[in-house]
Amino acid sequence: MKILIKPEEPLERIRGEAGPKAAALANMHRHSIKIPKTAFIPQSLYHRFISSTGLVSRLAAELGRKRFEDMRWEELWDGSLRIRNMFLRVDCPREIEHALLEDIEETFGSMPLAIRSSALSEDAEGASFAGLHESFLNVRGPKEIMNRTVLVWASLWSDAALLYRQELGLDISESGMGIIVQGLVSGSRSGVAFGVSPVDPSQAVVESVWGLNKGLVDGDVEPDRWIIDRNTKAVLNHLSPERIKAVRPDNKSVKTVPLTRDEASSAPLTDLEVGTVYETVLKLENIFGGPQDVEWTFANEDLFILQSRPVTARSGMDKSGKKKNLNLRRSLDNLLRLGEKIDGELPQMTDTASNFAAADPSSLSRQQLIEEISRRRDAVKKWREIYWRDFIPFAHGVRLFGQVYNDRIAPDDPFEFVGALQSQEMLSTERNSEMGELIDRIRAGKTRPNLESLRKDEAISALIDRFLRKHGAAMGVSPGSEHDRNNFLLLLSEMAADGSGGPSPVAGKKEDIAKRFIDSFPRNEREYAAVLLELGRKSYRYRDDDNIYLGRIEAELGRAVAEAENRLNGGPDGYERDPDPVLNAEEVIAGLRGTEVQVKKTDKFPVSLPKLTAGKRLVLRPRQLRGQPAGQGIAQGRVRLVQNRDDLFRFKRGEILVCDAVDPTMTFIVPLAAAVVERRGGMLIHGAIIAREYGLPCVTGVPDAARLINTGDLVTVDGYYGLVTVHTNTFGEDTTKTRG
Amino acid sequence: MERQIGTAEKLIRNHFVGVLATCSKRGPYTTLVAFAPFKSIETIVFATLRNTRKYDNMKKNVKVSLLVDSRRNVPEDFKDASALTILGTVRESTGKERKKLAGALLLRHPHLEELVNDPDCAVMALDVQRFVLASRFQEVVEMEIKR
Repeated sequence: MKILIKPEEPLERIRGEAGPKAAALANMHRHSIKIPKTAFIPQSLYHRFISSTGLVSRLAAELGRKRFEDMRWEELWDGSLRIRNMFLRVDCPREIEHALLEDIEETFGSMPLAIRSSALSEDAEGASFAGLHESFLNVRGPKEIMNRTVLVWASLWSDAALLYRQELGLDISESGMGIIVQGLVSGSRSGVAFGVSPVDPSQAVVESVWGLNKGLVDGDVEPDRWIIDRNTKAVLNHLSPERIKAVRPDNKSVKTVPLTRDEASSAPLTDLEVGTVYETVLKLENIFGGPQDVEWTFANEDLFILQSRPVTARSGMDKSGKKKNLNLRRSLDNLLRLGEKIDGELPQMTDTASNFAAADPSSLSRQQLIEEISRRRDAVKKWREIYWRDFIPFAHGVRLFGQVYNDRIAPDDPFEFVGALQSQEMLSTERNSEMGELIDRIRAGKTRPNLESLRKDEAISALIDRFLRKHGAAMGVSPGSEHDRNNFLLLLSEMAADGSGGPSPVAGKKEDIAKRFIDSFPRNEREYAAVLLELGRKSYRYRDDDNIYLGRIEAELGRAVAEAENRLNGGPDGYERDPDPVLNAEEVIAGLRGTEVQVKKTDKFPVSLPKLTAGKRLVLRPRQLRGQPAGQGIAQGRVRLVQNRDDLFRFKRGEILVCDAVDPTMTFIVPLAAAVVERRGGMLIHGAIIAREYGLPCVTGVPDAARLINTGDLVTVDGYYGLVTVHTNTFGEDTTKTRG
Repeated sequence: MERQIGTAEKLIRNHFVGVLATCSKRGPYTTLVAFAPFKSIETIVFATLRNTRKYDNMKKNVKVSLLVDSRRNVPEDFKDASALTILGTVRESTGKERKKLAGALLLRHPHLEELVNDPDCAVMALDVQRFVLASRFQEVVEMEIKR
């Protein structure tokens, strides 16, 4: 059975079965433009694959978990990861695998291959997205070919594709993925070219790097750039970057390597070659009837065109003239650099927090207090900006590790990889461990601990004060606030009184999982695996720590604001604080300057109900709420809805923690909880991370969690399936044993 | 929550046929019935001949449920379909009320005229006590009509 479609076959068949990108290659081939040896895997094979393996209904179930509108992009990534793992774990039907591999061998022999995605909707008018789907270079051997083919199919459902699902018209039954299979051309110089520049329509642009153009397209290798006058064909400008590295084929993949001294000191193209590339771009413009966005490579002296598509308003380059790539992931190099940058930023962050902690706002004059609040507010703004610019993107380190882990292992649990990253060194676990020691000390006392006994015990009091000085600010305990201190003492006595252990993380299988990962690589690639593991661990640790550091700075701003509130109102009681300390700062500065403080009130539950007969009303109750399974296990208990610090300190062991979002400054409560439920979704958010650390069932991304579930409700949390069942006896039934 | 109420209303207003579940000593029994809402969503009307198993069951046990759902029998049902279970008690309408309820039913299902005019036809009113809406396979919300 023949599966592959050849470039000589009718263009319409190629377009319908392998997408516009494939049809463009076949069209170039007809016009004697040199392309690598090429054939196409039709989308019908993708559909046969997902139908015969049952993936079609599993896709529907996964994509139906929640409304897309209710998902954060982190949840899209989680979903995409689960889908990728599903594709990797099904056995490809033997007749599909056999026929495909036989056909590929017959066409390409044993040459290394490029296996490129070619979605049916891709490059269609107005829907041109680079980097949405996977492509692989230097693929060798039947096992790798099948694995890469399946990964390209799975990438129809990549996180970026899910994010742009409406623009792409993504649909389980209708959307298909064709694949372009090409003999790998090991180009010595490669690049992209734009028939018309988005910055100036009278100009064209040629960009080039040494080696393969993967580095350029991924944004890791800065190219040389030539600006060309479209009328005269003359080079108007040549911009040279600092040339450092190139991407080249290596074993069964590609590798970034340093350039030789000769390469670093010279442009990849001569002026003559720039002219050759541009002449070809013009030929393509002629063939396709409009300016083209072209990928090309020089192998020896031969120019090969790898891809050509129309330059549309939404493709190619952004307004600054840089190549736009919608891939949401970052490369290893990029992340390693970002990690080093954050290594430098974190000490500055802790210094800022420590400096603020050392200053006492109560000793300041009114004018000095205004200045101090402004200074702290500016610091919070600055560090929030850095948080979004550097810290949040660095979380991609965990994602990159997770994806590679799953590609190598294809585990039962697509989030098994998190086990290799969990660490006792996180600030929150260090704090929780010290809190555990404190509780043990209290429990060792002779009398049952309560607020009074803790207050009277001087030795314990001293320990508590030492603990609060170190961790209090990041737990929302304002220094000097008797109310906050009492709350904390009540919590400690609660923890100490019930006789069970203090908060201690579960013993992980960290090293086993890590070893499994490293061992899955051939010996010569284990160094790369170790670098990736370290990156994942650092990214995972910082994801928690950076929030705590930011929380400390915000808490110090809060302390100065609280001092201002005291002076303005005689105390913070009766004043409804905005959750954002920066906004509070603005309000109290206005107050200190003599302008009235504006107190905001919000109506949390605006619900419009259908009109019923007079005297009747519709009462709504949740029964089962769906979210993302973020920590395996099942637990039943009474809910503690945590909406403010006081709720947090009222927490009792065995309750189910329900909140909008667990932030690292409140994770000390998690070890007391039987399970965690939160509105914010994702596997790598703090609630999920800390729940996994303590082995607790966790469901995240429940859109109405904090709105629909109340303190005291009896619920079951199913962390395997991502389901919260509310058993509250609203309708006079015992629902604890029923479902559905 | 507003979304779920909207979905429930849409299912009742846009769908013509539901699965009526009745119960006898021998166990549950389901049938397809054409229905129409009456007075907002508080009452659901349907018609049945008296010489049927479902009517017999309803005479003995007035507690019923009616399932209205949006499945299309495609893989996407797992993510797109919603199912509304309407729970309540049934009674057979008579006199003026029968006329009003039959009018509401025929407005939606004009082809049922012959059935409704049959002397053996009972026009049933399902007084709704509770709705249970399941969407996205496992997301379940309950809505109770309270006096």
